[in-house]
Amino acid sequence: MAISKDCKPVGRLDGANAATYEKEFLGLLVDDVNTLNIDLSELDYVSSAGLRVLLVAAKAAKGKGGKVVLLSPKPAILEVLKISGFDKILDVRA
Amino acid sequence: MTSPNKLTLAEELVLIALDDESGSLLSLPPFSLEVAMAASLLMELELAGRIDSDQQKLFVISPNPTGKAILDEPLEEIVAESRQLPTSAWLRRLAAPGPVLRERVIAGLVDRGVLRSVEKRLLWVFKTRVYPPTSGIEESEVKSRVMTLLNNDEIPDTRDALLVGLLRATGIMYRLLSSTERERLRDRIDQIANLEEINRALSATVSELLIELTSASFHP
Repeated sequence: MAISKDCKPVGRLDGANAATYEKEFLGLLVDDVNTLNIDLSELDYVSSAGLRVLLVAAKAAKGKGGKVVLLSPKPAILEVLKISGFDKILDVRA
Repeated sequence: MTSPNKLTLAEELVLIALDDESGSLLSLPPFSLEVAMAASLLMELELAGRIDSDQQKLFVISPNPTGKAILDEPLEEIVAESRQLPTSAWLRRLAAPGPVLRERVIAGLVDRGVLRSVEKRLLWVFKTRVYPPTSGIEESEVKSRVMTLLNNDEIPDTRDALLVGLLRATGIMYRLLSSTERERLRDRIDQIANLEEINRALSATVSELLIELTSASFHP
């Protein structure tokens, strides 16, 4: 059963704040929570370090039988997710 | 950062690039190992939080040294560069010294007892040096990790995804697999490797260099 929590990174997700966001995402996946709905509608930029954070969260969620859902990315972010093939292994809902 | 006993990506790549029996380097596409070695340094700097990248550029997050000379030297070079260059430009620049980096990594593995340094003679005259594994445990562990990852549908760890990219770009990956496995696992290899921007830049750079080399051969 999916027990989910929501979060919404804003602005940039890159090497400057990746560790903070990783801590936040993993911090939400506690107890019975196994699914993370990440609202990307206000995210303007994601770097390689930022993508790795999404992957770390997705791996943790999958390990608990859940998943990460990436919601409403802006076109530029969606393009990055497609180029890197994230849309093939994560649930991306544009 | 890696722990003192954990192998770096460059070390893992070199171990797999050495023939188990002879201790010689496998015959690989021109420049591919040099560019992959350069990529492995950029990867370690990214994982150490010193640099970051996107499709257009590679940039500094923290200029603070890592304490490892092999990483701090390229970091200094990146910090000193006034422009933000794409990852591919850094791969070409850091690969330019040729086999020096690889030899440095091999020397480190010999110092740590992972490899042995053995002098051999070619045609009874020319001296050459080969590097057979001391026990082979480390290389077996790396290969086993990669094969396990390829044969399941798990989300990879970052380091493993980066290693798959190094092995793909050098062509080593396909030498580890039978022809049947190559066909079966091709999409999975690409899926894992392409997760990382630096892997995509690495494969593109190796391909471009091969095209340039071929073109230069036909139009000297």
